[in-house]
Amino acid sequence: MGTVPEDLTRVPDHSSTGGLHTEEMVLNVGPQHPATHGVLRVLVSVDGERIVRAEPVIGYMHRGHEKLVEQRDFRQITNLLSRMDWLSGINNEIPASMAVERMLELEVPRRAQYLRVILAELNRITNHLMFTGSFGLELGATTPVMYAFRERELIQEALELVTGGRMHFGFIRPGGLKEDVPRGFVELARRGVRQLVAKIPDYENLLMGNEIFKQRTVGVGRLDPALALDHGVSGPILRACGIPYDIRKVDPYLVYDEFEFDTPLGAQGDSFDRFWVLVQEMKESARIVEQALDGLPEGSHIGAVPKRLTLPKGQIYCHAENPLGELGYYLVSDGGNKPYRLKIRTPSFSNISVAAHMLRGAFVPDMIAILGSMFFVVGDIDR
Amino acid sequence: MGTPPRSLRSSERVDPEEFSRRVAGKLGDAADSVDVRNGTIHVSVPARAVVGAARTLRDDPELDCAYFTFLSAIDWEANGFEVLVVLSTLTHGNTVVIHIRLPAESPSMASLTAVFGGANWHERECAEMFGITFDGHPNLVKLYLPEDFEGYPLRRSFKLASRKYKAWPGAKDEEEAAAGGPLR
Repeated sequence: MGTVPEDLTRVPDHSSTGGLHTEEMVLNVGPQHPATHGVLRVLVSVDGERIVRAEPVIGYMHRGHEKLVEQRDFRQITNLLSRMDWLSGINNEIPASMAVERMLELEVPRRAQYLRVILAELNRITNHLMFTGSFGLELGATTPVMYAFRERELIQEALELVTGGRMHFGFIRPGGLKEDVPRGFVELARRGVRQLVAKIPDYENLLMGNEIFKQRTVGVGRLDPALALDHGVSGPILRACGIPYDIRKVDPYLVYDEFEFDTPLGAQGDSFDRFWVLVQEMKESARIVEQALDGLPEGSHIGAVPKRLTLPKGQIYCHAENPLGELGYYLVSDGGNKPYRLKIRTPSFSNISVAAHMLRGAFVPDMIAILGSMFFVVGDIDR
Repeated sequence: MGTPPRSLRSSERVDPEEFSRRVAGKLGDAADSVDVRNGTIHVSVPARAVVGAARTLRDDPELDCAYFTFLSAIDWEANGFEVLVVLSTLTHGNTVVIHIRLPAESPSMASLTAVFGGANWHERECAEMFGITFDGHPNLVKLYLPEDFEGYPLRRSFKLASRKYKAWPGAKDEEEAAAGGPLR
């Protein structure tokens, strides 16, 4: 009747994997995945539940802003730049105008500077509220996003009242603002930030006081400060590592040096600390808005700007603290009315470039907790 | 944990002029020129000295430019390329821009990935957009563009597709109109 085939009885050596034969598997996450806030793809090699390697694949939303701006004059580029990080339109526009103003030595009226600060901080709050809500959602808590959007709506209304837009504002002009703020704005903005400050303890209790939330985030996705510096990580993610880099403090622009506010810092650099810093920053923004509304000077909303904006030859680096981190414009002018070259250094690009290191060794479900707390916008990575 | 928390304020910044003298002193012959414009320190470095210069800027405690801000390039057409490496010091509150001139024909320089891990993506972007080669880069494949994309989009000679196939229908400003451009 024959014998049992030899290869059926051979016992393979599985000593290194506890007797089980395992293989690495490549898991393709995205580009369409709810946790990626757009179209980010992550190629993940997993060994069981553990991530061995992770490689973010970007470029699905590359629109070539750096090329497009070379075809347009300094007033027209505002509307393009507004679309990079679509949650922080105002913040994207400000440093571009600052670069033009510094090269032309244009004076910006104090009222315009105050209004820029107010709008930028309101926009920072709407940005942070989006991530406050969505981070809970990604970890399975559906209530916080409802709360966050309730507060967000009031501030969004204030921004809409001023600019007419909800996302792509196109409101900052070299020399000042497109228009002055309408009647009722000061009251609406004040109501918005006061309601937010009153409700922040709810978010803190709902999420940061939650046992499940803590288990998902504390000690997860720890970012080493030296690695963060090495990759140019900025914003709440860098500050969660305990590094106090806030351009509003270090290299003050507009009138930020006239306001009292603190820079919240984390200690562990984990997902929990990143979220904690994000929430605390909204309180600081609210403080700035209140002070700026109190001290809002009278005057013009735009300075004396030549009808035709022609920049002298030269190069300038202008950076600002965007909600997600350091946004920098390196503007090169050849003496014309269009940028010869505009390098856009966006926070999300540098921040997500470190993700491969952070995901290595993590569990698969932790990937969501890590990516969710990296607070990135794909339009800001890809430009 | 690396850098200890320390609250830096603008008042604690080292004056850019003073910092530029420090940079010039430390880099010595490696730098062709060091100057300050608009509060930013600009350093010109020959391509062969760039890795050493970046390492000195990062490692010297009096400079401490450990923050990798970005790397990019400018296309000066016939006059070659200008690569920009921007480093910041968070302890002294200054930004240093390193300028490296490369020839227009087959531009290449040493990769900075051995000094700054963050240079990896920036060099990949720079390579696909300008056609600059970074020798020693571990994985110099395209970052944004599809693998089979031809040409270098951020070179001045690369025409924007929408302008290539259909000229802009109207003059954008008075100057262009005066030069005979279409009025609408």
